[in-house]
Amino acid sequence: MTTNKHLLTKIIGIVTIVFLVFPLILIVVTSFGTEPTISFPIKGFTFAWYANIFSQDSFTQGFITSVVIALLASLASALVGLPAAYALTRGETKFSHFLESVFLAPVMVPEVVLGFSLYSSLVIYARFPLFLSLLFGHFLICMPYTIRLLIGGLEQFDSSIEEASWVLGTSRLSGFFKMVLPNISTSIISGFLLSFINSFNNIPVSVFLSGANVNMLPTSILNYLQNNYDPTVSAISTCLMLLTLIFMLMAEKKLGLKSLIN
Amino acid sequence: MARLDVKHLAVSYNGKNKILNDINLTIEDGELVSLLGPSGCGKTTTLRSIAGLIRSNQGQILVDGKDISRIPVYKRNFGMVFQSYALFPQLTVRENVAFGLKNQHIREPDLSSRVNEMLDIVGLLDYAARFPSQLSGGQQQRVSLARSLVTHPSLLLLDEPLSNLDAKLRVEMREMIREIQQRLKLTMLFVTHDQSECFAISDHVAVMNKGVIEQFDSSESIYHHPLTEFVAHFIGYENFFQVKKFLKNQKYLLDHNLEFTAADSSPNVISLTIRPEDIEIIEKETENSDNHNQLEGKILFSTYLGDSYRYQIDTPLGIVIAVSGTDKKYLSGQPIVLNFPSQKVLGLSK
Repeated sequence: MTTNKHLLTKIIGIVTIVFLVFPLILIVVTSFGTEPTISFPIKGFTFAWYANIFSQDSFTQGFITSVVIALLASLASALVGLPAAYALTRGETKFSHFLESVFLAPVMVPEVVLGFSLYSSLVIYARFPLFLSLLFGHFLICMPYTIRLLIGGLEQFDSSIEEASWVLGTSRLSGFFKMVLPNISTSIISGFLLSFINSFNNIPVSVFLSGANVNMLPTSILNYLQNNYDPTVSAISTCLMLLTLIFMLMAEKKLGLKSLIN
Repeated sequence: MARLDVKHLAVSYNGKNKILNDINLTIEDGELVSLLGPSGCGKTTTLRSIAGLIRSNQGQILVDGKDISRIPVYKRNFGMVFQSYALFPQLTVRENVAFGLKNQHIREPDLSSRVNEMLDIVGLLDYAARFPSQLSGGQQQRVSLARSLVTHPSLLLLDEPLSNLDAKLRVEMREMIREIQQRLKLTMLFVTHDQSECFAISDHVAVMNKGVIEQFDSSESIYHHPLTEFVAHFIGYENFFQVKKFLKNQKYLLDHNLEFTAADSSPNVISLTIRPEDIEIIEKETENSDNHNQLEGKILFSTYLGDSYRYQIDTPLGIVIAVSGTDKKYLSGQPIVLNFPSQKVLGLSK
């Protein structure tokens, strides 16, 4: 009976992995195909589609914008999230629970709704520059993740360590930098990584807040796909996978993946 | 070190719920005072307001006569030992101990010599380069003690420092704390819920209940002469007899029209108590004409404590606990007479 169960678990595991990994392998393989449309199996081998990525301005521009927006949004959410999470965990206000819900609320709102409401309020009504609107939208996407992880980190951090530093003559501000920050650095880094990935992958908010000169990579890919079905998209997807893989390996080496998943 | 006076200290939460009410406390220079009480009685809150980690709503905290209650925690120059040790995990043992000295701008070679001296006192000189996570609980608590003492604080506050240690280590550590306290003539405030720990270590004890100090006295006085039912109960008195009426001259009327003479004489007494080991068990056959301060009873059962037997005895006043030597063992069901020496019977007020 137990061996049967064991076998079943094995089969389910293998099937799951195959279904998860197979499409990815397909994309990697098709990116090297010589056919002008994405097809499998491939008939010849070429790097041409990779070269094509760089001939498309929308891709290089989109990549730069995506990275810049993701970096700035993650940074902003960390800078706002850190004091907010600290106040929420250490403060004794009656509103702590309410405020926590407010900070985490953007996760509950469908991103399409978030994107549309930002578009109509910031871009159309307030005539905000598109880049700033996009940045604000991505900041809203990132903040709940950052705050969630920071609250988790701060709750696990023994507050008497901080108090001990005060008793030994450290001011509150200095104690925060000397004791709290070094001990929740894992949460800060994982919050930053999670924010970055979320922002980089986001489509719904980006679609509404893109325009003539401001385009994110995912929306560029989407636009390209509407007119072309060549393996350039496979090639760029492969590049992104490789980038994510390097990213994850670095995180794993530095922190261990477990801490990222928390 | 210094003398501490706490006067009319009060702390309330959200301006309504009073956690502490009119706390008055004095620790003489070089004295160790314990705050004893059950969890939630306010003893840790008292300690934390003295440390400056909690803002008090009323009252004064005086160090050598100077009010420090509005001085922020980091300028008070106190030492504090936490229940969770609260060592700085990212720093080595040496860096942990040096932390407070660096805040005082102590420079080398003074810095190293003071750190080494302190690590030597707590016996951890060989562990200076380790991180806290590489130490056992007892070693961590010793680092914490060294860290709080090295800055020459005017007052050392200890918040249940031994409660995370196992029984044997707890006794070792409390003797070490007492020994260092006496040697360096430190002024200490020690918070605990463990009465044996508290008596072993303190000069004076303040027993707390529901945010007030019920009794503040020397260890011996508290042990031998608790004033209230709560204090007596908390420090291990087990027999309580309700007083129906104060008669006169140390005489009290109990249930079943029994008349008892106690050591105290006061109309405020609401119950009488006596330690189990102070009760004398007499065999029924030796008929005694004088049955004053005596109760007839029947042994329910006994437990062997090594140096004595502990009996549960059924009497007209309810179950009585008595402890007597091993030279004689009474059997279950055996009728006996209990004698309560009047000088050992204490009157308790509310």
